[in-house]
Amino acid sequence: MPWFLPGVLGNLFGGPATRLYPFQKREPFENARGQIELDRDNCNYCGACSKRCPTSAINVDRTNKVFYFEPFRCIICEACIEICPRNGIKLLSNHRSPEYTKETLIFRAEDGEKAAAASDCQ
Amino acid sequence: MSRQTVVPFGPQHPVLPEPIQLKLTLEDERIVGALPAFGYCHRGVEKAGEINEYAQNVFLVERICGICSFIHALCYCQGIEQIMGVEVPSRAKYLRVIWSELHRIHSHLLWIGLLADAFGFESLFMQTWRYREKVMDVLEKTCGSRVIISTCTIGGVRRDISEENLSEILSTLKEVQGHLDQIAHVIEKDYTVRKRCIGVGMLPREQALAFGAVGPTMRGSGIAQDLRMTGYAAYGDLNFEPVVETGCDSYARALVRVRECYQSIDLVRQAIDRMPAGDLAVKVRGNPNGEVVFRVEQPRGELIYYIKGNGTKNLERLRVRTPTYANAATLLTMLPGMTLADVPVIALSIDPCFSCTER
Repeated sequence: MPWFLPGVLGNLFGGPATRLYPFQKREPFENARGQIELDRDNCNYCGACSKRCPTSAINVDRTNKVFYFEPFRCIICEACIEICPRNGIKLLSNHRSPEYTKETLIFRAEDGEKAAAASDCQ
Repeated sequence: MSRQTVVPFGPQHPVLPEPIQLKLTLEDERIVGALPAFGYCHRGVEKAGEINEYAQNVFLVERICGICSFIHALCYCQGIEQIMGVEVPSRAKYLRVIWSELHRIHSHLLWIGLLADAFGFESLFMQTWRYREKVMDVLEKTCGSRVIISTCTIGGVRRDISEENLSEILSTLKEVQGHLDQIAHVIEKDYTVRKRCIGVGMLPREQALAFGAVGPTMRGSGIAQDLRMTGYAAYGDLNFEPVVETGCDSYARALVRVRECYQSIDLVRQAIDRMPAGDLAVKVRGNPNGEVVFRVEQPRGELIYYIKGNGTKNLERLRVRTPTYANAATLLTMLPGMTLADVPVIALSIDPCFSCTER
């Protein structure tokens, strides 16, 4: 098959087409939808994001100012980012790493910076 | 009369990654009857579409099919826009065409690879999928995701493509076209491909019409029907003709898809060339009240959405008919008379997607 020869020679001398993942990771593209993250400084726990979320990955307790986020339900559709009036949710381009358990991340307004992980969301 | 044997092909089979069972009645190696059995991949998407809010359904319908996710979202959004009388900005229409055609290119490249894999031509399979990755990278760069790109929304699109990314799309398509020339040459000239495809899975024009075949399966039987000619999105402003082959066999269907890759590259170039500046989306207020049937051209053929709204934020009915549902019936006429070894090639020649079909 002479018409495949350029490809064959390119493969022979061009090095491997794949990476040694996980030792060598690909840099994500700019604005790639990797994961979302709560920006606690901007969030006022209004709950607009939880109403828009198509998978109910976000739940907000407006009275006690608690933000519940189930990352393994999130489909990173950016609907919450679009609806948020205060830029309280950020898009990160790197993907979340795999986990053994599906945990709910709980962010309380009174807790300050640290987020607590609790309760399975099976 | 020799003894008949029933051989199940699937639902798990190394050639066909999707779950369909073909109950093949054989006389020695020759097929005398075929009965497809569906239902292994039902996910209740239509019911979920009635439970979710209509705006959230865009993310749901994208997940009906991984290969043409954008075109499902496009069909749903256009249907809702038609009910609500929303006029989409021109730039959004062109962006919809660009992403639709990029999906068509990578879908057809994927299919060419799968066809090569079906008759053991592994090097063609590997090369085709390698070139497909270039298109996937462009999708990821412009949309943020490789497969479920989530850029279509009711009233327009959610992301713009920068000038820099538009020129990168053009340079990538130039590179892909160069590789496609090699692949097209192999499909047209290679002995193995011709031997395994020519005269295999005959679907005469009359049979294609009788069974209601759609898409490349129909166009491979000499029927010039392409829903993009109806001019939805910005297709009405672009110059193209349906790709038609008259061979009526698996080879003709392969040629249609190869030529459609070139056509899609040309359409993306035309769309980039003519795309005006402007808004990406209009604000949509209220709820859909009324019903619509909207049709678009998927890589596999005609996709139909029936949407019925009752003035609330939930739809009363969402019905989807995918092209494989129409094309699967043609297997009943294509398979009898062929040998058992031809089944993978014939089954793949309709480019089946059963995740779509069963939803």
